[in-house]
Amino acid sequence: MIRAFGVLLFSLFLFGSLSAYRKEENRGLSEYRGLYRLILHLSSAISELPLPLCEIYATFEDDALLAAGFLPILQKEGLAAALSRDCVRIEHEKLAPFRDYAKGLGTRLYTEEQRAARQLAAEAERTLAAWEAALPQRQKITRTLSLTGGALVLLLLL
Amino acid sequence: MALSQILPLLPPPLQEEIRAHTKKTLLGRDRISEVRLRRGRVASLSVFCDGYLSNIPLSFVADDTAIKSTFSRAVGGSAYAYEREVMEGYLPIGNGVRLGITGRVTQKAGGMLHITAIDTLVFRLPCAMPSAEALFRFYSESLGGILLFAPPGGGKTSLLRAFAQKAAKKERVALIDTREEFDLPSPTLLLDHLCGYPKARGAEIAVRTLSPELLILDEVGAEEAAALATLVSFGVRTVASVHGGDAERLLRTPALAPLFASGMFATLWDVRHSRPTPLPHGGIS
Repeated sequence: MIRAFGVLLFSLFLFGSLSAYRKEENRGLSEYRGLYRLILHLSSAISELPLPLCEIYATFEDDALLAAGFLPILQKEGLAAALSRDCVRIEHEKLAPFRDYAKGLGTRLYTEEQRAARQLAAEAERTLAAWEAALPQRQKITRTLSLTGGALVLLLLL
Repeated sequence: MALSQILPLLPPPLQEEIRAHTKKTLLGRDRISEVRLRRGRVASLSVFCDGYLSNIPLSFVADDTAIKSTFSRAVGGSAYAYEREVMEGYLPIGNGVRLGITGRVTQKAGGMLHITAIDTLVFRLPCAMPSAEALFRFYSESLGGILLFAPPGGGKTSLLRAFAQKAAKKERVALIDTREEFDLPSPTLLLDHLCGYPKARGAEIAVRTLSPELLILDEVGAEEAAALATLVSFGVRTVASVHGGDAERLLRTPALAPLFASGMFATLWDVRHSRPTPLPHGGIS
C-alpha cells in the first residue's frame, strides 16, 4: 500500500514536472518569437522612416512579451534594460546576441544600425528555426514519459 | 545654463575635468563657448575672450565608444535617425546649443557623401544673451538693411536672436532659420519663424505670404548671395549675418559682391565692437 502510494506520488510528480517543462518551453519559444519580431520591427522602422527608439518601442505589440512583463520595461527603459531583467524564459546563451546588439543600439549611425539589426534578425531566425525543428522531438519525449507515468499509475490502481 | 545642459551628455571623466577646470581657474562658465571631443586626441574647451576664441586643451582622450555614446545621448539615444544632420555636419540640440559633427566619409556615386564614423564633436554654446540695444537703436534710427559680421563663434547668432526678440515686439518680423537654431519661445512676439527653409527661398516665401516689415537671416553664404540680392526689389528691410573678420575684406569678397551691389544692405555691423560701418555708396569700394 505504501509502495503503491509512493509510486503514485512519484508518477504524479513526474507528470506535473513534464507538463510544467513543456509549458515553460512553449512560453520561452513564444517569447523568443516575440524578440525576433521586435528585431524585425526595429529593423524596418530604422530603415524606412527612421523613427526614434521610443516611438519604435511604443508601436510594438506582442502578447508573450507583454505577459512576461518585458514590454513595459522596454517602453520605459529600453531594450538593454528589458533584457537585463530576466523576465523572459529564454536561456542565457540564446539571449546573448540580443544583449550584445542592445548594448550599441542607438549609438550607431544609420547604415551600421541597419546592418546590426539585419545580422541579429538573421541569427535569431536560424536559432528560431532550429528550436522549432527540435520541438516536436522534445515534445514527443515528454509525451512518452508522461504517458508512461500515467500508465504506471493506472496499473498500480488496477 | 548651456554648459550645465551639455555636461550630462559628456563622458563622466570629461564632465569631472571640466568641473575641476572651471573651479580651479575661476573661469566663468558663461565664457566657455565650445567643448570639443576628438577621437584619439585630447578634448578641449574654447573660451570667448575679447571677441576671439582661445583653446584650452584638457587631458581627456575620447575613444570610439565615448564619441558614439556622447553623440547618442545628445540625440536622445537614436543616432541612426540623424543621418541627414550628421552629413550636414550640424545639429541643434536645444536652448541654442549646436552640435558640430565631422568624421570620415566615403563618396558614393553621384558625389553623395556618406559618413562612416564620427571623429569630432563640438558642442557650441550660445554666447550669454548679448544686449541688442545698440543694434536695435541703430536699426530704429537708420534706413536700409544691416549686415552683421564676426568670425565664427563671435556671437552673431546670439545677437540676431536678441535683436529678433526686440524687433518683433514692434514690427512684423520673418525669421528665416535654415539651420533651426533659433529658440524663441515667447508667444507674444510678432514673429514668423520659418524653420529649415533655404535662405533665399524662405525669404521669398515670407515676403510673398507673410508681408513682413523686417526679414532676419543668419549666416548668409556666398552660394545664396546672388539669389538674395534679387529680393531687394521687394523693399523689405533685412538684417542678416555673415562670417567675416573685418569690413574691408568682407567688401572685397567677390562672392558677396551681388549683395552689396544690390543695395540690400546700407550698413555693416561689427558684432565684436558693437558698432556700425557704413557701406560706401554703391556698396563696393
